[in-house]
Amino acid sequence: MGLTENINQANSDFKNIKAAIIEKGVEVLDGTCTYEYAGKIGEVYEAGQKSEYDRFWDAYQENGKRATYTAAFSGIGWTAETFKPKYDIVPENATQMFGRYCLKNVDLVEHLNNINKKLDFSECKYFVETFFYTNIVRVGIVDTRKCANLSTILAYSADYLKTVDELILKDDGSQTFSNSSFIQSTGLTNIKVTGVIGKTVNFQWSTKLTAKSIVSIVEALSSTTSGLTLTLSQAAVNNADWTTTDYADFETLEATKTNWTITLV
Amino acid sequence: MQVKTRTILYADEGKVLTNGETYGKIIYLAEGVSEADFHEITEAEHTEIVKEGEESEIN
Repeated sequence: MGLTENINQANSDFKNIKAAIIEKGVEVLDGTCTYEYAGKIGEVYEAGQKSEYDRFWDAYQENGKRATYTAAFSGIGWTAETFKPKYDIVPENATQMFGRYCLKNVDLVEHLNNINKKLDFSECKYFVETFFYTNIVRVGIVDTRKCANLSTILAYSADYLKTVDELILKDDGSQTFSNSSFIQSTGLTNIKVTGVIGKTVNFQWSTKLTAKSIVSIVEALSSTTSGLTLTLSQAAVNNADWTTTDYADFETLEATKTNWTITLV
Repeated sequence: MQVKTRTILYADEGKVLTNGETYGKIIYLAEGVSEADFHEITEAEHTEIVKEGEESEIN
């Protein structure tokens, strides 16, 4: 093969390579030099990764329309590396959604901010053991106002989940709590409750609650109901730093809700 | 002037107070709730009751 034929063959080969790269979704402008093609092939790999990311999350999140997230992010396979949803998460069913050792040590608020996604519980009707043995350390706003039954909302959130930025309840106190709503929520330290607690509720397992959290819970107790009981951990009450609150001590706080029986155990 | 007083029950050492539904070492009774409804059980009995409750919930 002569020189001219070699050059023609090389030109032909590069045209084919260019066409193949373009077919993979990477732009190759006219005049791109041969030494730039190695970089372009790297871009093909990245485009493939993006394509695979899109393919997975489009299917997993039903192109952003998924509403039933039952056990969707449960299990040790979900980590900060793998949990990178393409769409905002707006569950209507959050049953064991973040369960079983998922997302070890992940601050869900920071993580979602970093990937510019939102977790919006405002449409959620089912909070069944949503954080069952989760390894998440912090969740943001948990808006429960569309949910009637909170019997197991933080049940078995265990040692990892320390902070719930805000638990929003209905204002009419109608949502059901049970003895198990916060069963084994042993790590729970910071929680801000807004709305009204209108049913007997038990926080005995949360021995690390801060004074502010305890105040938030007591202040959320309905002022109009009777025959109801709030159970708190005696250790939490004894160890709480009341100087961080507007109340001198726990006795000053509990005196604001004499319509409730409050037990320390 | 309205004065409200709250009855507070304190369990003896090693005991827990209960009315069969509620358990506590210190119980701030709501208005209208009688202390006569409460009696003491041992901490061991209470621990067993809590454990049974947890096991029935997880099963």
